[in-house]
Amino acid sequence: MATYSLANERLRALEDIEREIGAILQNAGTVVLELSKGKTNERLLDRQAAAFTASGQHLEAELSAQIRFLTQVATGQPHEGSSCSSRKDCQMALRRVDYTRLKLSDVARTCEQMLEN
Amino acid sequence: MAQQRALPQSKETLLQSYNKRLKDDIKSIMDNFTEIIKTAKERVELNLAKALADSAQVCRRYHRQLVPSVGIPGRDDSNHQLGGAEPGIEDETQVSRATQGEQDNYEMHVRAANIVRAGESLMKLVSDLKQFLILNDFPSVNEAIDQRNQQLRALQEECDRKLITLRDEISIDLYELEEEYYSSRYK
Repeated sequence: MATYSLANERLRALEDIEREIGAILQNAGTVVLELSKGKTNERLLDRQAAAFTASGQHLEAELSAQIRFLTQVATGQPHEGSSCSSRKDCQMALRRVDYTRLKLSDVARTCEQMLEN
Repeated sequence: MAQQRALPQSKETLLQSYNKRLKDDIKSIMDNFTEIIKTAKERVELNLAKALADSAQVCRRYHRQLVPSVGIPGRDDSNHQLGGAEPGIEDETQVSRATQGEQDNYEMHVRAANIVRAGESLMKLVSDLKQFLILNDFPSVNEAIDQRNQQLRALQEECDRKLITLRDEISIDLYELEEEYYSSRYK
């Protein structure tokens, strides 16, 4: 399997962003849960609120960068490249191999019959 | 610095809409979270003020009981009730404590729901960006096509090379077989 590094890298970055969105919501939930308690843990509150704010800013920066990149590379035209020709040639080569295997098996069978006789 | 090409209107509009959605969703999350914290903080402060006022009332009552007033007309300490003027929520908002509590509860629910909705909207935005990237990121599409072509060409060349090697070996064996056959009585 070929490693389509450039495309995968950006897609992985977007998947990390999705995980970060989940983490942000979890931080917000933790802070609200802590506030609902009678006796709040100030340090935990501060830590979670700071993490929430930092994650929000980081998320906005990352998504803005992705949108900026797409603005630069998008042309509005469909991509017309393909690998059909090389795939056709490869299929023909595999057919040649299969045909050769078939003929060799016929020859082997004939030789065995001759030897039995 | 990369020059901005003239994108078709639809693509440019689409990208601008992505930017707008991003800004709106982040703003919604931050604002609603900030308001939740602020509301909780105000209620805690009001409750603390109320608790302090109650404590002060209790102290004054016991003080009057221990040190009864002398010669002050119009003052009847024995009938003084603890539940007099209670500074607190009613003075601030003119609604009862229970009503204010219900209002705060509803507000918290709505703001939390807004945060979750904005989070889901962000997930949808990321999904749309992934789709746009796959379809329109030409550098990576070109690289993927080149890699696939190289793979297929390499496989084809390997097949052909092995077939040629096989042909050469079989031709040697065939020569020997022909030698044997044409020198036998079965020709």
